[in-house]
Amino acid sequence: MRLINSVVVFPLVLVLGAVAHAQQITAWVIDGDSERPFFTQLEPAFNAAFKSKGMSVKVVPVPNINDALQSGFLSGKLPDVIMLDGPNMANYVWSGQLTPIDSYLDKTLLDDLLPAIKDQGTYGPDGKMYSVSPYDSTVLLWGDKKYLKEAGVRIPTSLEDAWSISEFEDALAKLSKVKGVTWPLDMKLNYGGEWFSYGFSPFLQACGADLINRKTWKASGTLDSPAAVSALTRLQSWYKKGWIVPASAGDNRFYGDKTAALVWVGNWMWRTHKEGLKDDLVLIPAPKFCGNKQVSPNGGWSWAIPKASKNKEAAGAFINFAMSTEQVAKYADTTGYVPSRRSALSLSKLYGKGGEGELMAEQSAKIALVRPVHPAYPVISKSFGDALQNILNGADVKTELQQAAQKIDQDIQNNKGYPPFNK
Amino acid sequence: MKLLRLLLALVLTVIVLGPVSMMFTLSLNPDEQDILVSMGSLRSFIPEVFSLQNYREILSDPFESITRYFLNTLIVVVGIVGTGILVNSAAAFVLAWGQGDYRKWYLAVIIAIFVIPFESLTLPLLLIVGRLGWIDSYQAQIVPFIASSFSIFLFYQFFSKLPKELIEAARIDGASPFQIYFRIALPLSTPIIATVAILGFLDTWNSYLWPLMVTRGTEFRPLGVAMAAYFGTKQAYWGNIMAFAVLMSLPVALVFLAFQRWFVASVVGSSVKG
Amino acid sequence: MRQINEYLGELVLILPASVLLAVFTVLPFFMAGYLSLTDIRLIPRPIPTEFVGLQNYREVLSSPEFWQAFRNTFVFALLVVPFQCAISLGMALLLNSSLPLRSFFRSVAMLPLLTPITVTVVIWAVLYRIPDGFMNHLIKALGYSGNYIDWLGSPFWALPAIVLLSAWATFPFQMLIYLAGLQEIPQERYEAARIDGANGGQQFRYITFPGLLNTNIFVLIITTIQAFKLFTQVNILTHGGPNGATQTLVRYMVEEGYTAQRIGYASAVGVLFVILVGGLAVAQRLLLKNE
Repeated sequence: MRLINSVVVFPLVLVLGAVAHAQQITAWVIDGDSERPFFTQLEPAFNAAFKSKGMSVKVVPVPNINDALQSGFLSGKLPDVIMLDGPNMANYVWSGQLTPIDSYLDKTLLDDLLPAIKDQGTYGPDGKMYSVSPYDSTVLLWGDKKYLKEAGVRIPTSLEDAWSISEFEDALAKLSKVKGVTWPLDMKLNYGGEWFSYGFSPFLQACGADLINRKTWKASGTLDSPAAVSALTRLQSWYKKGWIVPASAGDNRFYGDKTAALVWVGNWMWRTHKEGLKDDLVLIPAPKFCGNKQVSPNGGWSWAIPKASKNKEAAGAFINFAMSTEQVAKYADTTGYVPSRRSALSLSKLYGKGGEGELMAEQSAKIALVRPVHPAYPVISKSFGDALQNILNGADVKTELQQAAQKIDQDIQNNKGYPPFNK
Repeated sequence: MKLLRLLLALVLTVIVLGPVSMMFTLSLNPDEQDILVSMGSLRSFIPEVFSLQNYREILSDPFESITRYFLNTLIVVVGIVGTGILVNSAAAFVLAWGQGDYRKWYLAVIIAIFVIPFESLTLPLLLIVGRLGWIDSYQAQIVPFIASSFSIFLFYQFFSKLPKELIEAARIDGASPFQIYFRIALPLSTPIIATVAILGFLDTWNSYLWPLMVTRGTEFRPLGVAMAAYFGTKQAYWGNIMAFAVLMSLPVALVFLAFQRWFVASVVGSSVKG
Repeated sequence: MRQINEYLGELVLILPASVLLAVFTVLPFFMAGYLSLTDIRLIPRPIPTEFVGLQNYREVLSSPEFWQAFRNTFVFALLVVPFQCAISLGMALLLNSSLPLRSFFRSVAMLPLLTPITVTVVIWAVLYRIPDGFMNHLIKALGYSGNYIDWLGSPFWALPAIVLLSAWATFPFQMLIYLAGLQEIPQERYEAARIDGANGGQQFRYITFPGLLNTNIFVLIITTIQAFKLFTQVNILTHGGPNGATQTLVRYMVEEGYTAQRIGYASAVGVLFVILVGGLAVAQRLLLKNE
């Protein structure tokens, strides 16, 4: 199928390109089941709208796009538009791979963006915007109403009356005794990569710790602070009690065979969960991990233009189109993510007033904390992720966090402080 | 005694056949729910339903083109094995029957190269291939593997055993080295060509680490990497995964059936002589 | 003139292989050595790459992760080599003896060799599934009283689980070599022994085993080298986890050099790996030459 496409279409495109001087750009997008329907409509929609201007796009879903981008940076073979994971932007900019996009974006769009999304796409040293995401994400608890009722635990409905940490722990203990529940809590340990720092840093941040000190850009003293140690020690104890679904148990324990009662995961599971649990699905706000403090992670895959692109104008036009209010609303309704434009909120079925996703939008607006915008982020994320997995598997919490912090600081040192971040 | 041996052989058969027949059984079961339920019981080893549904599904998946992966792997295998046979045998012929004294040194270098584990070369090789602009291409998967010290050595051993008179006679008749190689030595070396071809085929069909590094999209992805990626993303669809696994294993089984005699001989020959 | 033509003719024949080997094997080999002395990254950085001397080696040798990978690789080899060689030898003896349907059994025993390694890994992932995979059913049938064993998810069981699957995946290779070795032992020796009244055990001890000496050395060493290169199985099944319990040298190198892009550091790991494996290969040559 694919082969036929590229064999037949590719020469055709070359011929057409030569004849009409049409500008054909290529966009690499993420390849996920939940995003796919959005991208299949995006390509023809843009092509129809820009036919008169002689512009067209080919949208290519790329599996393992992080790796593909790296190899693109290595070989110089990159398309005109890419999607990158928000927190990696600073690293790519620092390595000189991206072009600022502010000048290509409409002023109305810039004014309409959620502040956290602006933060995510803005590179500190020059204050310019290098990436823009059509959506915002958040993580919360999804529950199986049937089990929760049976266990007799209170189901909070708003951010304010969210569970305190002891209430959360108590709920887990009760749920673990309910018949049919093998594990009270799924934390998606089967995911890999970015999930660990994205999904678990809120536990630290709510308690006053963080992945790295965002002023001095040093991890030691922050990532391994007592607050971080005690937060993760609690998490470890849950795992030891057999409350958390192990990584090797796979993805579908909550929505598939229903052996898990709660799951800590983000918006992207909206459709899957809805289909799996139907009316038993209930959304529970992020618990107050420390005292009264709640934090949820945010951000996500964003549009950007590689420096190597030769069609920057067309690339900019495409991003503008993909970031239009309608498209942003469509993205949200297709995937379950929160729209990144305020004006799209009202268009979205899921997030409009009284929509089922209101709680997720509220979290995005009130308790979201952007991941550190620093070129060392890939190392920060990997070091913390490794430490977290080891901790859950029983390793000593303090030692692991210290090692992770040292690794991060070592990397920053190896890169001479990532100038100009060392100023 | 004989009975005991037969019994042992039967146990061996069960252990070897079990996982393989499970692969077939699950691939023929279109009901994913039922697969999950039966997993681990005897029912997952002996097929009850014979449905090609899973095969149809994976073959028609517009996002994961298995035919494309097959074609990619095939191109790489043919590229490596085809050119490799010519390039390596030509060099080996000179080493066996050439005139220069450098040959002794050359041979020593070939043997030394043979000792280097490929894994340790992957990172510098990645830089080279990146510099050449070959990331995500067939070249990256073919060109570095055409010349093989191992194949050269096998050919060298074979050519050295050719009768001296044969070569000398051709030389006296005024044949050039190329003519002697191409008209006399190469046509005689079918057995060793078969060995090298079969080993090359097995190696390439099994390759994983290098293509994982140099292919990113699905365009040039070979079967091994595709299988692993498929396994990583489709864990809820065991039937489809197993259908993929069956399709990937089939060509090897066919090559085995077609060249059974050569097959065993080459595996053994490769090692004992090496 | 003729002489020169001959040399030219030879040159043309040997040149393609030489160039390819030089560029894609010899060059990377020396590059690995050189790169290990620098702080080069996979993707160029805006700060200059520097020569750092032995810094990478110091860092590697003081890294607990490197030593863990090193230890795991050794433990894996220690477990898999005797296990796999014993099975292979046993099978070879069995399939070399008079046995009804012998050629059928021989073909069946070849099956794992015909199964691509990625496929084998996926099949075994199903066998090891929790809580209801075949292996968990098996241990319960054998009297295990717990809920289930998380084969690939427990730091204790993960490596043995990989050992079992690896032995299954590749034993036919060693078996074939043993079969060939067995067939090279002259039949007369057995006949003579039988006349002298030696029983089966004695025949094995005094004829078969000494007759397989070279084969044994060879099989042991290639199996060990193969074990040291462990990557595919752990990369797909466990990603080196849990707690790094299945991290191997090759995977550590790939992770540092490719994922984390620290080519310089990873090259130092690579050089150490060459020394290790190369040393074994040289040992093999020496041992076999002496015979």
